[in-house]
Amino acid sequence: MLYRLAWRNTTRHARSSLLTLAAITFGVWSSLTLASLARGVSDQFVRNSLRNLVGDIQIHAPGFRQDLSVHLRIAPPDLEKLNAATGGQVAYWAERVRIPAIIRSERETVGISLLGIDPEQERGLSFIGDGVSQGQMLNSPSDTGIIVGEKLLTQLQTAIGRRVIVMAEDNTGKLAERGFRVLGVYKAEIEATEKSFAFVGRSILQQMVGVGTDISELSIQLKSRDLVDSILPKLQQAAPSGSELSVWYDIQPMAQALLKLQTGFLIIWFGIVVVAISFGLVNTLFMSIFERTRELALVQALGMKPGFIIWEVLFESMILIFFGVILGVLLTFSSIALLHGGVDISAFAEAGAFLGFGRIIYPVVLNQDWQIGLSLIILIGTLSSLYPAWRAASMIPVQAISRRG
Amino acid sequence: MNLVKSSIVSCRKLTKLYREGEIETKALSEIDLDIEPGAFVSLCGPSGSGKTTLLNMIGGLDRPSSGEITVAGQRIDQMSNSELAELRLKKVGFIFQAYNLLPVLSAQENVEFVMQLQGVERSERVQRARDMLSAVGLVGLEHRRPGELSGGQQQRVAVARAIVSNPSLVLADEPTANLDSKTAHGLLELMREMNRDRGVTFIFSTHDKQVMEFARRLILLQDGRIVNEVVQS
Repeated sequence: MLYRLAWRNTTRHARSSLLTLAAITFGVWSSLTLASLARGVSDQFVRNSLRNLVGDIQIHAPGFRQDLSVHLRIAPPDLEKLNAATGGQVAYWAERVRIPAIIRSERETVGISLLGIDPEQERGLSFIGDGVSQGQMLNSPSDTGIIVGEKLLTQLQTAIGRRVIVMAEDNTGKLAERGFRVLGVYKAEIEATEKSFAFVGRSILQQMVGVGTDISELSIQLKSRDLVDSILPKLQQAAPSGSELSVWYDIQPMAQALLKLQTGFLIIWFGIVVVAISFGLVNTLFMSIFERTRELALVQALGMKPGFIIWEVLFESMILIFFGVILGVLLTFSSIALLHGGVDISAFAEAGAFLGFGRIIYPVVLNQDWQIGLSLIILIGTLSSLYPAWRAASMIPVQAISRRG
Repeated sequence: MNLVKSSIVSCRKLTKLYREGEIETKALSEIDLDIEPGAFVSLCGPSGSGKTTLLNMIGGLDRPSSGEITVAGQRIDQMSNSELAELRLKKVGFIFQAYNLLPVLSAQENVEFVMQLQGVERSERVQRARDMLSAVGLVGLEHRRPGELSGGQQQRVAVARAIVSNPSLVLADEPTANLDSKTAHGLLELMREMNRDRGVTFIFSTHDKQVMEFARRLILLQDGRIVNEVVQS
């Protein structure tokens, strides 16, 4: 009966109910769509950061992140064993040698990070796996060429096909030197990357610095980034003794900080929307209650207890919230479906691209945002309806229904 | 004077004061009254005499400033709001002058309303509501909403609702005030029939002579006091 009364009272004041419904729908849609786009921006940032030779988890010698020295290295881990330990959740992995080096052209000398890679392993894992923008990519770990960033090429004042000299400390502490022909150049999302990273075949670099088959790091990307925390302890157990594991948010703390900051901003935004919705809802309920003061007095006179009246008014509010949320969610899904190809913001985002933000935003639906957003709207909306409901239940029937005679 | 336990309504030194700022108005002044079960009583008097106030006190819609009231054997002047709601639900039926029905419910749903609050099973509720609407001459109008019924038909629905749950007492505040004389006469006949056939006690407030003629007992109020009582045959 309460549902029926609530439903009919809601549909009875169609105009004000529709306006409130529209406000809730708009609030839900704007909150969730904005959250999806904001998450898209940060997801792109994190993705770019992790593709920047980070991965989800890295295995390396203790202290390697603080000192990228040729002396801090590990024997190649048993990859099958590691994959088995994660329950087959490894999507990509790459063994790299990473050392500080100096690259010299006929005109310039620049300090860089030199990476010895297997180009096949990098495919899907890091930006260099996407290939080069000009020239040719390395063929194998034994390829004798070198790949540099577009910016570094400009800085070195050299060109594809020309030779450069690379110098680095070897295993014995002496200076090792080798000439490489520039095979190709790459373009990266982050400008600083193009200036500071050069890639050669892993076997060639191992040979140059005399480390045998040792590597500096094993970079692992899981099938889902959300698995990192649960898989980390298993990997720790399966990793070679004396090695150290680093997680992406330790390697890229700014990306992690951005995600946390964004969650805070989104909660504040949800809060603002919820307060605005609550005002509309309370206003509609009060109008509805004042318009039927005598009816509410009548039902009390007939024996309806105050608690039932509170529930009846709350049901009216819940009906509006329920349909508003459903419509808002449907509208959000439609918007996200429309935007699945991405929103190109390159015209406004040059500075962002420099820092590693994407030029195209792809909306990302994060369960946590939807749970927080929808819970807040439902909870605060319902709680704010308690006041008009309580006012309705506190009416003294005789004052509303009778005259003194 | 002691409260009479055998009475359906018993009032002792019932007083109601209304205060508006510094001004205090005595709406009821030390009313002593007993009404026996099955009575058909009219509270009469000019406007402002206190008849509606007395009716509201008996129905637990308002609280006395002092004095005692017993309805169906229960002291109601010290009951909580929730207990009063329970008493009204189980023992008292109401018919008001206007705004009697819930506009969003059909005639049948209005009649079912009190039974729903009482927790009566749906099948029984529907049957009793239909029987009662039939008894008040509203067959075929069960699914109409109040806005689709005439004033007289609406009051008949109100009567049906007031007595369908078998209350001990029906309180009617100027039930014929908005009706033409023919419709009012029909409604009064109906209520007298319900009183006679079902033994329901009816107490009206009215200043309509036609209504007074139907009552078996007339209680005349003036300035919040009972000034006269007449028993009619």
